[in-house]
Amino acid sequence: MSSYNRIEKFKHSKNPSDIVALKEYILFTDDRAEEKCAMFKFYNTLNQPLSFIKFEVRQLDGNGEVLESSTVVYDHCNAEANGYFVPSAKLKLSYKCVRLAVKLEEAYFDRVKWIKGEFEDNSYKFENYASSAASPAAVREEVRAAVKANEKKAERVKKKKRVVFSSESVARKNFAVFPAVWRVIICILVIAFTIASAIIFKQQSSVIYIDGYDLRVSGETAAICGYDGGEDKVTVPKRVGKYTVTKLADGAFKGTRVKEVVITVSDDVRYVIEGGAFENCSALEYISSVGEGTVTVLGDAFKSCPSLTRISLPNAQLNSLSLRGCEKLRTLEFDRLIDERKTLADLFGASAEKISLTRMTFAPNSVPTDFFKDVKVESVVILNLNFMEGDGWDNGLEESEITIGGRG
Amino acid sequence: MTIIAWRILCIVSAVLFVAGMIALACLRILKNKYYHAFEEDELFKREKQTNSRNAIYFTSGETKNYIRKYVLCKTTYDSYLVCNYTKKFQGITYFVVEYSARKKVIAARKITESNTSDTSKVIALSRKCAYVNVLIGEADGVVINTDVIRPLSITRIRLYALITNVLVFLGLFVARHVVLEVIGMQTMKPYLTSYFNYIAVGASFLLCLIGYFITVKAFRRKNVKALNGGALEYEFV
Repeated sequence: MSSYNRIEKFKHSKNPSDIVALKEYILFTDDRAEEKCAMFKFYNTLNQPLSFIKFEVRQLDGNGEVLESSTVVYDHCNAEANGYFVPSAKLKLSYKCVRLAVKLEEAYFDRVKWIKGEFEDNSYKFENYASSAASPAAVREEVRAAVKANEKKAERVKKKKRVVFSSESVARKNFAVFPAVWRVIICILVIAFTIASAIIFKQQSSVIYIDGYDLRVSGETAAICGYDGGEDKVTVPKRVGKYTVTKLADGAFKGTRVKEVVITVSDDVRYVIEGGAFENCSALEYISSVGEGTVTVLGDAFKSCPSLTRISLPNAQLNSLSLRGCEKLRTLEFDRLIDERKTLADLFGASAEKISLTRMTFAPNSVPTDFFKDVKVESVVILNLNFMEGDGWDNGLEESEITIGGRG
Repeated sequence: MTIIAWRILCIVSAVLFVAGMIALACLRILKNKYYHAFEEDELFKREKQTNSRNAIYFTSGETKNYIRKYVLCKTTYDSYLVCNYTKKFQGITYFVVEYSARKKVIAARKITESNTSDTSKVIALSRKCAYVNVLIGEADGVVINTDVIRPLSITRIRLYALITNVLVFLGLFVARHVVLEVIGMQTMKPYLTSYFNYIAVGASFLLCLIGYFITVKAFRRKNVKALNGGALEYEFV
């Protein structure tokens, strides 16, 4: 173990633009033991960590003569990019050495090698860096403290100085955070609202959609309140899904382009055609029913159906004004009027005088006087054999136009 | 509206959404625009070494008063740049704009160096870099160029804001419809004709409209910040 009584620091200014430049070196001299060693301080100018350095050291005497020349290798430097580093290991020198001249020979970086002025690529190799530097040569505690003090001082000087060299990318990405956050918020809010409202609607609403029909369900029965199929001829089934159809509600076929509707009525069902069920069906020409169940047609059920020419609802009971707006009706078949005190004109309302039926078939128990007043009917068929002929019931009709229960 | 109509609207929205996304990607509205176009510098000489090819160029324009020439060193996988200063500077800042072989900008770097020697430090460049333009920024307190990248124009900001928010609206329309299809067919059509649905569509539209103004405001504020080096407000004494 030596004790160094003399410590000299030298600045090295030759080759400052070397890829790894020697900035300073310190000579530790033990005059009593005639020993000398050196520590180096380098600066890595490249933007890559440095792992290996090899340089030639020429030891010069007081006259500048070369005493000795040696090659020094520091392996596992772990030096940072664009920064100073001080290899821990010291170089032993000749006692007579006064100064040093250093020439860089090789330097290995993360992705490149620099060998005697030339760059080589070693990007296929990735050096593994030890977390700590190689173990230094044994020095006395005071020398170690002196070295540490020097390093701290160098760091303070470095901090005081501005950054010697910096290279930063200025090609910015034009991106604003808040608008992106806002868009995410919108998406979350809207989707969440949609899911929540759909679930609430599903629980609270009694309207469902099956096979093109909007159904308002009540237990096991349903009323058709909408239709969005594009067919001309529609056969309304007696069951849609698991529900028995008992009603054509207001707006069931409103505004549709259907031409022909066949209603299938279950035998034990009282079917209702509400007012407005066929409102504004401008293309509707024919409506009929099959099945034994009774059908009740309420007022304005066929409101504004200008093309309706045939109604065949043999089990239907018609209410007043149920045929209002059906001015082109030619064939009418139904059971009877709900209120048998009403006349035929009451079915058609104000436009009764425009009506001209070629054939009318129904099965009333009786009809009031002047039942056929204001409505032209060419042929009447009364199916009820027990029909009671009241006074003047057939006013406006020729006897040959009437058929009762198969008899003329 | 019938369910068919809603589905048609959904399909149209999906198509428009995809087309809009492609258009947005292709237009690259927010792409950086540079003050300086590529200038081919005068080649001084080329040298081929064992493992690298070096080319020395003279700078041009105002830069040549501060940086005389530079050498591009290309190895198999890397490129490096070293500049030769006209003199030693206390502090110098310059911009290195890197171009590909097709003379498209691939990177822009800002180099700051103090207490320089006659040459710069070795500057690592992108692997794809084939050419560079060196543009002086500041030298010993004299400011020549403050930036190489133009701030975004208001037209581009507005266009970007409009397209992105329209795309969000269309995307939400499609997403909502898909969610409804998944939740259940039987209640879907009645839901679509209920006020819930119209509220959702209206709310999407309104939120996207607000998003448009937010986007324009945010980008304009960002522009101002970039131009002022981070300071949005300053006091006049």
